[in-house]
Amino acid sequence: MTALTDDPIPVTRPVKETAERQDAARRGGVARRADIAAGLRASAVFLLLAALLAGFTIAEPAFANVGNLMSILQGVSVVAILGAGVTLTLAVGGFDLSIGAVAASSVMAASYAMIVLQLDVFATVPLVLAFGAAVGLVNALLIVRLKVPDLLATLAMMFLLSGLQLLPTAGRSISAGLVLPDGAKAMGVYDGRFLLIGRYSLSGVVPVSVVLMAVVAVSLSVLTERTRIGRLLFATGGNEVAARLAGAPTLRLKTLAYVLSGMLAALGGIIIAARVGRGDVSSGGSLLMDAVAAALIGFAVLNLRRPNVLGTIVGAVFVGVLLNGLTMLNAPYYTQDFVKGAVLVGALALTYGLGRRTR
Amino acid sequence: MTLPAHRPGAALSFSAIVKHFDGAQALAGASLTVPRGTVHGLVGQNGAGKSTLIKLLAGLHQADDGQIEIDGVEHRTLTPHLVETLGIHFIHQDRLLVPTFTVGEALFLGREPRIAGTPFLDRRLMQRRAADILDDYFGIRIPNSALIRDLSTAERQIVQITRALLDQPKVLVFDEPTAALVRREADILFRLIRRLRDEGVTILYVSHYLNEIEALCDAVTVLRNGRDVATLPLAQTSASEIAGLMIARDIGEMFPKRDVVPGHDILKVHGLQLSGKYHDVSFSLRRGEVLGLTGLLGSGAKDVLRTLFGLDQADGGTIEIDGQPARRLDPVRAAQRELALVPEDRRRNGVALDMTVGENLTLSSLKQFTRFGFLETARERGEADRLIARLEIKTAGRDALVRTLSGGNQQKVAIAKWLSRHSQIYLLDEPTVGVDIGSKVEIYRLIGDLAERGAGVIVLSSDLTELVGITDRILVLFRGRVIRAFASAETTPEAVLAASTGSSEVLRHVG
Ligand SMILES: Nc1ncnc2c1ncn2[C@@H]1O[C@H](COP(=O)(O)OP(=O)(O)OP(=O)(O)O)[C@@H](O)[C@H]1O
Ligand SMILES: [Mg+2]
Repeated sequence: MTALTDDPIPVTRPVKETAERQDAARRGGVARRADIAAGLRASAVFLLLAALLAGFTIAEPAFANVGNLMSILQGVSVVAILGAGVTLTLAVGGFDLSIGAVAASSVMAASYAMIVLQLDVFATVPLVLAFGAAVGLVNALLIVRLKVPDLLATLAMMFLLSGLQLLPTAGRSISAGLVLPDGAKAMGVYDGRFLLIGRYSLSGVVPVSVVLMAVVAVSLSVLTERTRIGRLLFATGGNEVAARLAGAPTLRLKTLAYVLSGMLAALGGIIIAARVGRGDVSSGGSLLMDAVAAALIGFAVLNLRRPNVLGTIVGAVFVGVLLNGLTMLNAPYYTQDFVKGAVLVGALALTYGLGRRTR
Repeated sequence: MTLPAHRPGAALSFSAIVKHFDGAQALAGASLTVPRGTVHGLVGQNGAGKSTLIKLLAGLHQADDGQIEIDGVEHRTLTPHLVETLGIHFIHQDRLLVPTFTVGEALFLGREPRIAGTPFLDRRLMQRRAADILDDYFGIRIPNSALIRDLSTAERQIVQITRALLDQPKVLVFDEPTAALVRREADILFRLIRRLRDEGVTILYVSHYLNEIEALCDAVTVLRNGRDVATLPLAQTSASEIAGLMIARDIGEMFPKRDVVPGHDILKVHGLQLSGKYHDVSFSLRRGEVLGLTGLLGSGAKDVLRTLFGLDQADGGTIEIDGQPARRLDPVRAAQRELALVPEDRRRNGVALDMTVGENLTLSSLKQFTRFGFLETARERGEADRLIARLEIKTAGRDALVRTLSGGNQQKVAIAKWLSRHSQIYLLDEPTVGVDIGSKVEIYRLIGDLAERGAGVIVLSSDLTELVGITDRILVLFRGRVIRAFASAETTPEAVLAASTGSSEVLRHVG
């Protein structure tokens, strides 16, 4: 060993500040580029949507007429409304698998209320919404009080409801003139005013269900993004202990999320019932999956990388536009699920893979 | 041609390391050489890049530029596995153990001993080796079957260190090990480190406690804004010199003076007891007063704080808040009665990692930014920016996710969010752990402001110099009882330490 390397402590002295300052300038440049990239990602879904609209219009001019665009919105309204409910439960760190079943049983409940119980629209709608809220409350009770994991609790509820809706009619679909299990004939009919919810268009242009979707979108966006309750919902999902220590009533917030989710699913069911005018035992097949997909695609919209109501609605519309356009271009119906899946994978890759670096 | 352990040479050598995270530069050409068989300190402000440097060595991140040499050999890509086979072990600042594992599972994860000739785990051997090390080095017993999530932060830290020792490491890297340790455990750790050094182990040691660096290290490297500004031998360097290099500005008086005349009692605790934790705890807290609470691990001090905030229910005794008896407190009700708790394990209980800095900062005081249930975003943002500036939280901005902040800056977010809330009684559990020296002073100032505003503050801290510096009175708990009360102005950290280890000659109860 030479004397030079014998000193075990290489000593350096303080360096000058200028290097740091130059560095700060360089960092500024990097940051600006990152800003632009982030902005692009935030609007990526909108840009894609615009591109799709333009592309389909060029390929098939009939695509762009108001009637078709409204029918797209009408088609996605139920999924969007259910997706908003999924968004709420995701926000509190939960998950509601029962929404599809709630919507399906709500179709049955609405039909039963009018055809068997002979209620009118003003009794039926509150009754069905209350049914949805009650299911949400039971979900919340299982999850919040009994501490059943959310996926298990709502999965169990899904099974329960799929069975429950068959009981009153012994498994038969409900339409006017239904023969009840005891042999009597049901005397009621669908209230004409109820059917308007699914079939009427304001000034002949905007369907009622689209209006309902817009109302849900706006009011829940405001609730989640602009109010204290909304912030606390996300805080509960983000770190429940921290939220509780901050004085947030986390159990009540979770309950609220599940109750709203149940009511929104029931509203979806009402729209379906009013559209088809009968209670089919097997309605609402792919609703759960579609709603969850919309909520997850919503993570990518605005590059928020968290559940958000606006994103969910845009996600649902995006899928609707894509499917409608492809159908007009004669893509076979069996490609639909593949297309939905591809959009979802793309959206998730966009958010988590590429977006990760910015925030 | 391996070198014998005593021969000088670098065990670790980083040169001109650069690392970016998106827009933010964590390291901007940092160099560091750690001679074999020495204890080398690494210091710097929160966000200076200490943990990033260590994570690069651990193979958790890849450097954008620069070289890392281990035992004189350059490694282009490091993986956690490779690093472990090279005999380098880490006690990370923020790497959590799997909470649902037992101590035994966590200790032997990935290298479980088998019963010879069979694929079955040798539980007996695992049990014995773990118990031996815990007993030999730490003098404590943690049952192998205990769940990680039921351990205190200090115990978890000990489990991490034990895990490294099981492997007879060549290099040990500590990222703020004492932040979670109480004095007595810290002393054990220091003895352990000296012993390991004498056995030829190289130690890289990150800490915000400059007195530890002074006492323990052979040399120290100061990082500032991602580059090394100096490497100094400790024989010729003082703690204040190091602080000067870290901060590059005058931090003023370490313990700012307060000018408050305490008012009437705002909190009265009488005969409080929780079986197995503490007994017969009585004290009162006045408006404008800062009361210190301290004690070793398991002394019950923390449990008293938890009870006051309603996280645990006492078996007996009374709590009076502002003259009103408080029964069946829970966190929501405690918050309504204007209590605030800054919890100790802030990564777990203090911040939501995937929410933004701004959202976290205002979470506790959200009511102040709400009108008719709606958030007043402009005012909320203003408050967030004010807190970021005041506590010098190093972040890309209020919209960055808390996850992207350095450990100390996450701590600052958790603390700041409580201190901005208008409460009557503040319960602060280790308020300055992991925070750099400049921000510590700022937190002391904030605590002083609270007292001047008429709030009562209880500070639980194992940094006794800090406790004596910022409180009016100190209560010491030992084995679940209040054994001494001190007037802070008339005592010393040494006296408080003696009392808290029970070695004080006066083992009598003080109301
Ligand atoms: N995963 C990440 N994503 C984005 N930025 C990061 C990430 N990890 C670290 N940073 C940034 O790099 C910088 C250095 O962080 P680092 O954790 O190394 O600091 P530190 O010196 O260990 O500070 P502390 O004393 O607070 O622990 C910080 O500004 C931090 O915000
Ligand atoms: Mg760190």
